[in-house]
Amino acid sequence: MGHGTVEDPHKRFETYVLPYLDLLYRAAIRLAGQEADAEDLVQESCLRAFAAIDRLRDIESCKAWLFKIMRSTYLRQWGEDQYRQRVVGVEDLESTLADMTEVLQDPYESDPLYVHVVGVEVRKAISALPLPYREAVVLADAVRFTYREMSQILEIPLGTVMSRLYRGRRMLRAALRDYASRGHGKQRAV
Amino acid sequence: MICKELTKYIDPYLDDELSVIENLRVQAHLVFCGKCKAVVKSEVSLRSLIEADALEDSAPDHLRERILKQIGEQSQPERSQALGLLNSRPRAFFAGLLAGAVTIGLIFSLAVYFFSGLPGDVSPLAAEIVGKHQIYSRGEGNLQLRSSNPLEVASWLRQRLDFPVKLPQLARPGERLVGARLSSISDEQAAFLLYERAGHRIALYVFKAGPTHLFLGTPKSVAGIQFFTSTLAGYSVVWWEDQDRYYAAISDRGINDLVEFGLLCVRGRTF
Repeated sequence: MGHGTVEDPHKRFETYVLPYLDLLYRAAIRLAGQEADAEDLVQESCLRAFAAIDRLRDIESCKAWLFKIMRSTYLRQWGEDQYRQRVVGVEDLESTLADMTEVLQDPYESDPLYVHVVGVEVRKAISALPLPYREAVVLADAVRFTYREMSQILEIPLGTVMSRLYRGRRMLRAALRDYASRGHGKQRAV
Repeated sequence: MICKELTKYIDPYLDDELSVIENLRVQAHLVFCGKCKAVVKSEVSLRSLIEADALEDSAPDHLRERILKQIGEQSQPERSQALGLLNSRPRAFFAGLLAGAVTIGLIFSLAVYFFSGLPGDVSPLAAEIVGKHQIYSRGEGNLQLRSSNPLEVASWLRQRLDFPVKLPQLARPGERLVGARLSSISDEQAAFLLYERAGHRIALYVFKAGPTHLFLGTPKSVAGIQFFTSTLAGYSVVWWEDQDRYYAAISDRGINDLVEFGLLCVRGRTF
């Protein structure tokens, strides 16, 4: 390798890939929906990463490299049709950016309603997002990638990363508010 | 900075993507603007919810073990072969997987292979089940729970599925439950149970009803129960509907043996 890193492929895998297994699984379960599918997706992605581990030159970018592999595995086997059907167009992006000031009209005073949202509802709301927005929200908020890393993984410009995040989070907020108000309503009805 | 301008900065501010100068400008605005402060506070709570939910998940130990086992089994030539597959077209990728290089890919490769080249009377459901059976029934490493106790297995499944499962009442010597795992059939959540019967392995899938076209097969009515059967790649597959659930059994034994197993399931106990 020439830069003082581990050379044995099995050791490289254990040193550089395995530490990200939990993060891969967290993202996979939010992409694939079912635990069994998430496990299959992570397993398939790890095998593909192992097969290509000699190509991993920049250890610093290992995390983004892994997620790029997992995304391509997912799109190949589960989501390509779904993605193509729902991918946003330029018009969508422009209208998204133009809408940014709408955030000030959102009913933020109802924030305490989040108290009534439980984990399973968060998961459900994320799963219901269209794939381009779901993957942006998952990468940013569940796995903590930077915009630049997301731009590499998703192969889209930085501006598109930001607009997908903005739109995805707003859709998520609306869905959670819906769950929260239903939970709130139930409590009041008792 | 005015409120309208700040809206563009909220996400990058909370995502640590702003320069020091921009950060200070946002903070200066937030000091005196209650409305924007409320927006930011709410955005923080949204991110906290997502993060807290994510932190609850970690890769299961059996997944880690499975991956390490498969990686450990791969020698250099196999890795090179896999690399070649990564560079090839999807169809060649699937065909290559069928040759046996990458175990997990078998599920998908078999499905694609069968879907594309099936004779008209072979059910896609049978093809999917055969593909998964090739993976899950290999040893016991792919089971998430190893137990011969139906109560324990049923309780484990009940905590993970949103539907009850009816398990067969086994009585003969040489019949035993081996274990279970979660799976999916036609994108629906499914329970996978592995049994041993007279020295042969039988896998049982239980899942919610899917699109009817998946259930094409040869009808066979036994004891008032409508079974559907198919044979593929040396395996027999039998499936039937019971209380709004589909059950599918597969083994390398004949159809009649599976139908007999199916009757045990129909007369079994719901947990």
